[in-house]
Amino acid sequence: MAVSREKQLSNGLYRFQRKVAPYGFILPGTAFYLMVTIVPMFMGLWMSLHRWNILRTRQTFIGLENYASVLTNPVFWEALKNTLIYTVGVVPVQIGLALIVALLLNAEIRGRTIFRLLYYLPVVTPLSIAAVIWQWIYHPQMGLLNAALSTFGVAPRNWLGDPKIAMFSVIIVAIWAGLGYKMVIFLAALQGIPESYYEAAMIDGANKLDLFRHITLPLLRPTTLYVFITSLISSFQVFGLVNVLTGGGPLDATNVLVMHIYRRAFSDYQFGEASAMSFVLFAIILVFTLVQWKVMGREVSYD
Amino acid sequence: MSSAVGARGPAWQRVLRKLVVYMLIIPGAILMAMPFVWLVLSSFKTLEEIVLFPPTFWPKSPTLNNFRQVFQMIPFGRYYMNSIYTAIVPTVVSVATAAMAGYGFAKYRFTGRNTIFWIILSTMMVPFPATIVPLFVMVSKMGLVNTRLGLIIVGLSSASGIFMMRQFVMTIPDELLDAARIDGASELRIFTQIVMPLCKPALATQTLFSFTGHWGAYIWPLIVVNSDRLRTLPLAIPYFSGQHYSYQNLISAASLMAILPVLVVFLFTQKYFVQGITLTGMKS
Amino acid sequence: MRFKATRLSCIVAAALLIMSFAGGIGFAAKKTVVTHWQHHTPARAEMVEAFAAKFMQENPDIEIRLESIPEADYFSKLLPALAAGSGPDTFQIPAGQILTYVRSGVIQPMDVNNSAVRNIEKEFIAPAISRMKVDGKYYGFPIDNATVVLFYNPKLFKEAGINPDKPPTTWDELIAYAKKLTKRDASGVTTQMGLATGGYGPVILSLMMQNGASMWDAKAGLPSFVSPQGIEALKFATSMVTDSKVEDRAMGSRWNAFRQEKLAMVYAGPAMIGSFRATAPNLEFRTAEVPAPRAGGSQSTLLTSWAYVVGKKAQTEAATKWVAYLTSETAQKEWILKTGDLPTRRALLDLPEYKTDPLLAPCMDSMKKALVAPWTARALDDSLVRKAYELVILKGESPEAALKWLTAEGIKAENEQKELARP
Repeated sequence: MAVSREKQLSNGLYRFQRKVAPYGFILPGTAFYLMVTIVPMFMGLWMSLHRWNILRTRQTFIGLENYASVLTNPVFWEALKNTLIYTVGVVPVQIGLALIVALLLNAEIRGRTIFRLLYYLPVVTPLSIAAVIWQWIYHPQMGLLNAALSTFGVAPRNWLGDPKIAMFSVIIVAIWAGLGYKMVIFLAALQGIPESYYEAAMIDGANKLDLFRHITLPLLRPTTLYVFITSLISSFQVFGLVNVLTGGGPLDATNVLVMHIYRRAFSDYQFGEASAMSFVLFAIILVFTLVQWKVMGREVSYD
Repeated sequence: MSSAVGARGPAWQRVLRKLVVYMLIIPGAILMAMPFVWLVLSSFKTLEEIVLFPPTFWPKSPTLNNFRQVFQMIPFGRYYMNSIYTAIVPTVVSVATAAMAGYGFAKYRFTGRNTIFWIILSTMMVPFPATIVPLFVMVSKMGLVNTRLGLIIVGLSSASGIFMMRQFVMTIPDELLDAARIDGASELRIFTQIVMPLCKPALATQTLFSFTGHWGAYIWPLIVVNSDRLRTLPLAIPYFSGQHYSYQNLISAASLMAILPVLVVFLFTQKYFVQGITLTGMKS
Repeated sequence: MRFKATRLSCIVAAALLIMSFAGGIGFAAKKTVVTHWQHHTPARAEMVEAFAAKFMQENPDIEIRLESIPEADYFSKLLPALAAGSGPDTFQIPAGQILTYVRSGVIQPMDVNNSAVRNIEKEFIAPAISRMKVDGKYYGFPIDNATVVLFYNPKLFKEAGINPDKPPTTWDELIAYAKKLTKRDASGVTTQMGLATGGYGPVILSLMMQNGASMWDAKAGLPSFVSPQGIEALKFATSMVTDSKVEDRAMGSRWNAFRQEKLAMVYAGPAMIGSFRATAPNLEFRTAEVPAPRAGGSQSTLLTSWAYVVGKKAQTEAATKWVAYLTSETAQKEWILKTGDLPTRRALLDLPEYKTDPLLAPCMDSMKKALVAPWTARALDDSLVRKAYELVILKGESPEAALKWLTAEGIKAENEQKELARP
């Protein structure tokens, strides 16, 4: 019977099923997704080659002129710099902290579900409400942060109003806002690591650090790659959080690229330039992602 | 590593470990919860109290009036129902399709696999101002402005969902699937009866994220919805904001009521974070 | 036989009844739908809903569908809709944008047969409607009109020994009062501010206008801010923070400070009357016209306004009727009462009941002296000017350098606007 089963496996029908199955599995998700992203994306690319006034029906083709003016515009580079600072400031710290919190809340301590909920709260708290609290924390005269620092003798600062430190303040809020999200992902991934691996290693004499370095971290790698890449992609495109905290100020210190793009499009009616900037940003994100993938994407064998 | 913290070593070590965990976790938790706590307390404050700066903590004269006023001033109940529909349908569809697609990308080799996957990944990298207007024009040409389908059509699938499921499914050993194939299971059976049960935490997570995202969606519904019939909660809450001042007390009450379903979904999905997946019949 | 006849006649009667019903509906004029989009505030939404109800009563053949959009997201919704052709029939746009919208072909002239349109020049003050006319036709009625007035706290005045019935009338007086009204504690932290502008664009521009700065190169048709009067005005504004230190940015929101009686005087638009009334009902405050640079000088302020316009696809007659209704005399009285938006009809500006209202009288006077900006680029009304102000305050640039920067940026913005509005 086993023999005929294996014969069955090399049977054409099964081979056909195995060949077709993947397309069947990826079809709905891919189709639904690309249907609402590919066409608009190419349309946006087309817009970037024009001086595009959204109110008109005919537009002027100007080729790569938008790209040239964008790449020579100091405001663009300034916004890109702000975005890079933001990304570098947020991504590693947020992910590191989220992993630590996930490890701590994976332990069997009492009330861990409640703690997990508390850490997830910033993800669901509306940005405008979070902004009210953080503006209070950061208030130069009556804010909590300055009050706390004054007990250590540290001078008060204008956290959101001083161009030199505004971005730092925003980064802290960004880490706060997204940490719970990454934590949940890490928690889910930690569930997938079989207990038996740890037990076997401990029998072999491994200590806590060894367990972490040789079992947990490697087995988390696919998840960590996902978290890093999606964090990178979304940090480069941050908009809402900065908009509601500082509006891009003071003096454009927190003017991130997507904010600038949005303003050029919806306030200044320059959709062609905005699209061009969007695709320059796209190229930058793509390069970073590819590099990240090469560095972190080593596949792990599971046995 | 979960039971590892609790179960080993003498009692005092166990207590010390738990204490350390608490000491590290609690300050962070306070900071995380602060705005939410303020939101809850603000829902019971009057407008005069809420505009005070620095903010007060406990409401001086707590009132349930805000909740009543929210329902009086806008058809909050209808918006709630609309939100439930526009969150649940895309969530169910996108989680299901993400699971299938993630499995397809993770456990099969086929022509175009990497290309298609990277195309999907790349579309996540285009900032929304470039695509939002063409997308709306497209949806408008399909006649879907101010319709339910128009609202949910952009959320039926999620690139990051597909990506995440792929990463999770990758951790399932191939031997498991091959063993099932040898036992004569069809590809679909393998997916539904072997892979999916092993992905419970991932599915739960993706459900939570998808629901959270669709529940709080603002920009697309803002552009697509033109009538109260379809309006969702995130569009309704700005009703209480004005140019020079806002009814922050009503915003708080409305926002609090709007957040509750997400918290419910969170607690519900936490049940699926069950430790310990026994993998029998494994060569080791 | 009789039975059958009765049945038959019943059926025929019923059929005739139904037909007449249907015929009746058929004969009744099909309703013209006018979709209307505008900014949202709770008070405004309520008020316009009431207007719509009354309008529909008086015009049973027109149906008004309202959509109230938060101001911050207004263009996010409007522009895609206009691009897709699914836009509203009537909506508001900044007055300076009218030329662009006309040349781009998305709005149409108002119905010339409408009496309000024919009488527009007679009934509205000139600055309010100057930008609504293109190629000899009128494209909108003014709405959301704001000037700048001085709000002050009489209690704090009394405490500082200043007569609350005599608000400052010159710039020097303003600073002198502000200094008396500024209090600091032992460690130098400001506990009470005398005066604030917040660096708000329209306030800074108003100061320049009062000082006689030209701001415009008429020959080139482009902004030009560098002038001795302009520099003096900008310096006056920034000196409040840097020199006389009557304004302290560390105190945060000037509105909160005024509400909590930690700010004695503030430049603001008249709409703040409604805001203070709603959020600080126990606060005693007064309004006054802005002080002039010197005795007998100009008290002009910048008039910013929007317009209700009619979309290209709208039914001209119905849409015009609606926007005329929204800006009619009765309506404008409601606007000032419920939302603090100033009237722009000549008849109302001289109404005795406003002249005797202590809060509204200075606002009406300010409207009579208000001036419209010569440019159309919106960035020049607020965001660019505010940045120039911040260049001086935060980066220590000289007012002259800041105004040079403002001119350069303003020229860029205005050129872009011109390109958008090309025929």
